[in-house]
This record gives sequence, C-alpha cells and structure tokens, in this order.
Amino acid sequence: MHVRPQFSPPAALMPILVGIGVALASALSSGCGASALQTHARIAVMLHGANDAAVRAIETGCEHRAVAAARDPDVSYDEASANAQRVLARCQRVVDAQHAFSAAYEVYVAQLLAVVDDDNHQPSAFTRLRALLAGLAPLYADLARVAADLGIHLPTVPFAPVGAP
Amino acid sequence: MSRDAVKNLLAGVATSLDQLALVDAGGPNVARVFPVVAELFRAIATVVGTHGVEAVQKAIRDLAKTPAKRANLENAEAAVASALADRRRSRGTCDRVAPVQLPTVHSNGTSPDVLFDQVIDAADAVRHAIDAVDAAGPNGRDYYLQGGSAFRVAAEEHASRIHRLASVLQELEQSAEYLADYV
Repeated sequence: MHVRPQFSPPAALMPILVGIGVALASALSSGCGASALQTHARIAVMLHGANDAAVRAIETGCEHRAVAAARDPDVSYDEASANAQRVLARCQRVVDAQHAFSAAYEVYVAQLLAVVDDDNHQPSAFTRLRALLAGLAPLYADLARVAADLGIHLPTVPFAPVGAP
Repeated sequence: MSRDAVKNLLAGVATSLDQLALVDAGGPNVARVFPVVAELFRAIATVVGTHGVEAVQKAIRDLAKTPAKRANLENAEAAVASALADRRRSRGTCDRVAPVQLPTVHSNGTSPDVLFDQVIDAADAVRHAIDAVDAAGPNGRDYYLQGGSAFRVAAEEHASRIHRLASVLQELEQSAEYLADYV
C-alpha cells in the first residue's frame, strides 16, 4: 500500500520554523529578568498550542491515510478493508502516545496553577515543575516518533530551554 | 534579543503562517494545520510581551481552565466505513463476482420479458435496501461511552451489511444483462 507523506512543512517554510526555534531558545534562556513563573507560563502556552496542532495533524492525517487505503483501486475490497484497519491500528498507537503527552501536560499545568495560588512560591514547587517539564520532553519525542513512522510530521517543539535552570 | 523584538518577530511569523495558509502553500491539509500553529505563536507573543505578574497568573489560570485536547479516530473510522460502503455500492470495482446460474429462455418456459422485469424489480428493491441500510450507519457519538473498539466494530459490521447487499445486487445485474439479450 502506498501512503503519501503528509504534513511535512514545505521546504520554503523550514528556515522560518528553524528561526522560530532559535528565537524561542533565545527568549527563554536569556533570562532578561523574567521570573521563573513567567518562563513556565510561556512554555505552557507553547505546549498547549503544540498539543492542539498535534491533535489536528493526527486526526486529519490518519483519516486521509485510512480512507486512501480503503479506496485503493489496485486491491480487492477485502484487502482494502484490511489495509484500512491496519492504518487505523497504527494510528491508535499515535493516539495513545498523544493521550499520554496531554495527560502529563495537564499535570504540569495543574502544578503551575498550584504555584500561582501559593503566594509564598516555595522553591520545592519549582523543582517539581522542572521535573514535570523534563518528563514532558521524552513523551513528546515519543509521540513525534510514532507519528513520523506513519508519515505524519508534528510541529517541532524547542524543548532545549526547558532543561535550563 | 529584547522582549519587544521577540514579540514582534513571533507576531510577524504568525501573520506569515496565516498568509501561507490562505494561499495554501502546502496543499489543503497543510492549510488546516498552519492556522493552529499561527495561533500558537500569536499566543506566545502575547505572553512574551507580558510584563505584569497578574497577567502571567491570568494566562496560567486560563490555561488550567482549558483541558488539553485528546485525539480520537472516530471521524477516521466513520470515513473508512463510508468509503468501503461507497466502494461496494459503486459498479466497476475490481472485485470479481462468481457467475450465477442463468435460466434457459425457451418457448415452454417463462417469457424473457417477465424474467427480465422480475430481475430489474428485484435489483431496484436491493438498491433501495442498500440506501436504507447505509442511512442507518453507526455514528461515533452513540458508541463512545462503551469505549474500546465498540465504534470500530459497529462500523465494520455496517460495511459488511452493505457488502452483502451489494453482492446480491451484482448477481441480479448479471442476470439482467443476460436476459436483456432476449427482450
């Protein structure tokens, strides 16, 4: 079954997207007097948008691939049906990875909200925030990997500044 | 890089992505994604440009109120079921139907006009049945509470029902084509 890759940014866009990553890395790691809370707020907003974009890319990409398999005129009905179900099964792995990421992200945001609600801003709370954030990077990497296996390329998230103190 | 410079850069990128989506630079599917990315960078620009602690706290509270989206495959499963049903309904698929046993038309048998009309009427009735069964196809909203693969199973069963009816229709059409030579 031939599956055409999708959602790869057009070549002309790549310099722009790379530039965005560099700009974010500069903004987040330079300090510039920004509080730790503000840094986490920026990252949380970024991850929220990345999650939304990932959901849309996964749902649209999976639908396109599964329907293309179901309509493949070069194979019999039964074979096309089986191929489409295979695509959906592989998509389910991507969906599971996305659910794992979004669940971990919500824990991170909940901890961020707890810090906001605690006027004392305990240092241990920020330690926990950094730990939660560090756990999000491999989850997103895993999500991006299984999506890429299916030919669905998710937005690049510049996690590099996350590890910065 | 100053805060304002970063904010302006990100807002500019968001606008560029919007424009790219408008001209559909990467095809229709890319156009669906880039407005989301543009919105993401616009949101980052807003937070980057935020100076007050209260504004940051508000941004965090707003985030906490908005549950992170979860992907689901219900639309994809429904689209596959529909594509398979369309495929079975349409003529000219590459699936081969076994030849049916055809009647012998002769002077002491049923007249070919009657045989032909019977087969045509039966085929029309099966076409109506296919449309009716297709209209009764499953919808994800009626199955998601069961979780797991409930909707997928229902969609497969639906496609199978269409498949079986379409097989009957193709057999009748074989007979009609044969009998058409006698009427």
